[in-house]
Amino acid sequence: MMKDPLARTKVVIRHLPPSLSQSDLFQQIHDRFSGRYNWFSFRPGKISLKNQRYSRAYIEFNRAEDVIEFAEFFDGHVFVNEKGLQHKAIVEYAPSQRVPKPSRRDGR
Amino acid sequence: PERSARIAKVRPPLHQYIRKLLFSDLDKSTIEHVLRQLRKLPWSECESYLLKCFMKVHRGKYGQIHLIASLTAGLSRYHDEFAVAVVDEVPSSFPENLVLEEIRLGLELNDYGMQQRRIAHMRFLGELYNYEHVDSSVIFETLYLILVFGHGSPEQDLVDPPEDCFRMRMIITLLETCGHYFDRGKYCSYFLISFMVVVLTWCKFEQNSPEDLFADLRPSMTRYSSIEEVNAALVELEEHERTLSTDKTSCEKYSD
Repeated sequence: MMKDPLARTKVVIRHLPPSLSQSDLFQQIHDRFSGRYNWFSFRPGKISLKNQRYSRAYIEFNRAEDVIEFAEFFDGHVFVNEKGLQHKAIVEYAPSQRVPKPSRRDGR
Repeated sequence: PERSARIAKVRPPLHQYIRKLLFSDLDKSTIEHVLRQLRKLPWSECESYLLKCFMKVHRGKYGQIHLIASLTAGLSRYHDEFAVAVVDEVPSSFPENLVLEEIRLGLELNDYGMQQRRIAHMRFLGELYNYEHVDSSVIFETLYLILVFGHGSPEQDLVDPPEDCFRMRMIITLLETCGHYFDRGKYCSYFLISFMVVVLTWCKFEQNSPEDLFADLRPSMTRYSSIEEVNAALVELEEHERTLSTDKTSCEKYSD
């Protein structure tokens, strides 16, 4: 019943270290997948005494094959933070496959 | 005894203004005005704060969640990046909070505030569908995710104790909000039958009965009383669909 997996190109990578920065993550992605994605959005995590939230990123690839290769590399990939703590990343298809259309400038 | 006074959180004026617009000004009669004011904000400075506030739908009145959904749809014309981010945030907030790793971190799962928040998010997602801002695949993926998450794992009772049936309330909330659009579709029929399995196996307590939901969405659907009957019904439905699809080469479409 779900959309044909071959038509899905937007993924989410979850369970990233809360302290991970966008540039650190994309440096790693860029090494292997440069030029193969056309949009990404990074959601930084949060560390506080009360709770902590993992970082997350959404990436839209050009081709479905790139998604497979990305998942093979990053699903289960262990990120190590500056204190040596390990975080095992999870790669999934994003539940919503929508990516932003270029918005027109708001004349307001 | 000497004790320092509690320091009130001081928010920058821009954040205060956003909160005033969303949490006190917004109602049915002011929504146009609020939308215009939001468009006038310095977006590069406050987009992430706005996203944070939009995700706090549980702070406002339950009956007004559809207004936030309407604002999201209204903003997508000029700030689609933002509107897409809101949608990505909603379904992910569920597994993100429920992931088993977090249980081990000692997160209070059945904390009442968290439940209110998840219920509000279900309502929000349903309203986003009503405003045509997400498509039905997102709704069904979310429904199935709630249905199967953690099921059969050793932590199952922690995630959802049988006397709590919290997932059932989440499913009922989402379908109460937008299920009327799926009143004939086969995907929804499949889902409702699978849902009966859960009702039968997990929820030994009656207080959250989904009976009203079934009566609204599928008044003529049989209510099965055992897992065997439900499984037989699923097989039958599949066979029925197969004969239908060989009769006419119907295109695979979601039922909305």
